[in-house]
Amino acid sequence: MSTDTTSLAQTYSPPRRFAGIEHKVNRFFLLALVGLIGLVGLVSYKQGLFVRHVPLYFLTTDALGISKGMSVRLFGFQVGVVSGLLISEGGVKVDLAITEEHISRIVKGSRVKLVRESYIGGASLQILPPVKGEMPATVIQAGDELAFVASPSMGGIVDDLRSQVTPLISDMRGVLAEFNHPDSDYRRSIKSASEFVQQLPGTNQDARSLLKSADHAVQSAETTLVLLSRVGEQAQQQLPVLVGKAAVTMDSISGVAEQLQVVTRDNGAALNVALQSVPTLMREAGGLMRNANDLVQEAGDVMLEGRAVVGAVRQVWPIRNILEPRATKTLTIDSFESAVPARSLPALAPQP
Amino acid sequence: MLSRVIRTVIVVFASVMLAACAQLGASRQIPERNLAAIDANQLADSLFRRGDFEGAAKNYREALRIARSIEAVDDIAANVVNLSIALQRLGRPAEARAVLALVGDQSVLPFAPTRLAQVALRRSILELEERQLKTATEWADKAGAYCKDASCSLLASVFNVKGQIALESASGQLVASNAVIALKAARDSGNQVEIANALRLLGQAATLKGDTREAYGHLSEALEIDRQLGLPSRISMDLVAFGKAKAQGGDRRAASAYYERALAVMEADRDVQAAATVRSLLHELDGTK
Repeated sequence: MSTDTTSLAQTYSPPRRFAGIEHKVNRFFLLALVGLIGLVGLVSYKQGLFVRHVPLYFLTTDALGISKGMSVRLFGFQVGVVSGLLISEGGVKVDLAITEEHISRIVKGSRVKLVRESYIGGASLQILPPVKGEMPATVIQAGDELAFVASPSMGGIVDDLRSQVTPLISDMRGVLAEFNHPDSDYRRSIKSASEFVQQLPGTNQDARSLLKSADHAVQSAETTLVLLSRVGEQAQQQLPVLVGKAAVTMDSISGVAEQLQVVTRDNGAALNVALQSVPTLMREAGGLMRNANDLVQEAGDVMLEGRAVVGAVRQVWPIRNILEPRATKTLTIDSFESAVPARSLPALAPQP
Repeated sequence: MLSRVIRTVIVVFASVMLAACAQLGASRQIPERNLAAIDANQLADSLFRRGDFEGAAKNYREALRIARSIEAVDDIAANVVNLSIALQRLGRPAEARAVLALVGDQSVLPFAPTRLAQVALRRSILELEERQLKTATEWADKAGAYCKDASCSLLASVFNVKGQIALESASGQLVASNAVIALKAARDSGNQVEIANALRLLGQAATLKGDTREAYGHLSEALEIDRQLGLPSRISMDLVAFGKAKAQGGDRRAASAYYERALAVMEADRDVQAAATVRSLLHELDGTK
């Protein structure tokens, strides 16, 4: 049995078409490996692996949101990355690797701030120039420390938003309660306005009666004057009688005048009360309008904030891959857009 | 064994690189102003689909205004086309024509030939509605000239419009020749709406020739497609075309039945104007009895 196997092994020769296949396979994988290394080298070059970096650092009590590899920006341009994080006595030491090309742009006393491009995602470290007059404008050296400026957390932003929205809702509630309360300024204003409007016909009637009284008075005066002219000739003879009549007439005129005065005073008082309430009404109406305007403005702000949040969420992977890409849509042009059913054929006379 | 490991590493690496490239491409930021134009356009689009043409026109106008403010050439053309369609649906053809005048080869902005073809085609459709057949033909020819490229997706629409113009002149041969080209182009581009339109035209051309058998064949096919697409106005057109073919063949009862069906479709779709025209066809048919 073993003799047979040995003889088979000796006689077996691999097919000719596979001659040197091992070398070919090895050569292929060697080329692939070289290509891979080249690609890695190219990517590394593009990523700035061969660029010289200058180390800087800053200390923070909380490294939340900061991670190794995070980009460091200056005026919005990437100038380096976070090269490492280390827990130290002062909190966390964050090492930065800044490209040598850009180090000359960073002056001593510069500060670092964690910023986000939007509410969600896209965090980076932003190098800010020093506060004016605080430090001399000398270029920072390798190994120097930067100051860290703490920025509000997401929770802080939400709390801030909530703190802004809560009074708005309370205001709205207050305004609605003000509207609904029977003793509220608004209700009283409406009531005053209603009373004012109701008084107008009465004032009008009083004015009419006043005019009527005045008319009567004028008529009486005319009548008296006619009488006076008629008796002109007998004036001397009947002077005492005439004087007496004239006295009565004058009394009558005086009474009318007094009546006129009383009516005018009453009407004036009513008008005065009404006019006094008008500015109050106007002020209250103005106040209400201002409140409403503020409410609308604040609601608009809240809407804008909400829109910004939704916009930011849309940009985040994987949501942006799920949602339809944002692009202008064009309606499909239908060649029969102008057609109506009756115009399906030009007037065809049915055959008899 | 070693080669398998290397292969796995290469595959994984290539996948990661591809994914990274895809991520970089996808993260393109759209400027705020362009986003505002897109938002207005998309709101208008949803209103249009709900049948609120007034709201759609308002928002297309806003999108157009923003696009013009940033000279977003393609967005300008897109919103011009959309606005003209909304205005036509509102029965304001003069305004639609004025809007289309914003885009043309004389414009200082470099509009793409496809957009110029769309605008010329829309203009031709508007002229056809006004029965200005000469002008409609000129604009359709212009659209065809812009649409020289074989990949132009508007070719079927252009020839269907030309077919309708020929139909207005009762030129059966011309209707059929245009419809045949339109049908081929529509089938090549897979445009179902234009396939049905071309088939309807072929059916109408056959009716003009007096070949009712051929007409039924084309119209049945068109009706089937329009039912699948769920387009009430097109379904009623097919039914009316059937009715006319039946009337041509002397079968008034069948013609009346088709008109009644078309009327029911239009009434259900709340298209008062179209229903009135179908009703007038029914009266015409009754009058000839």
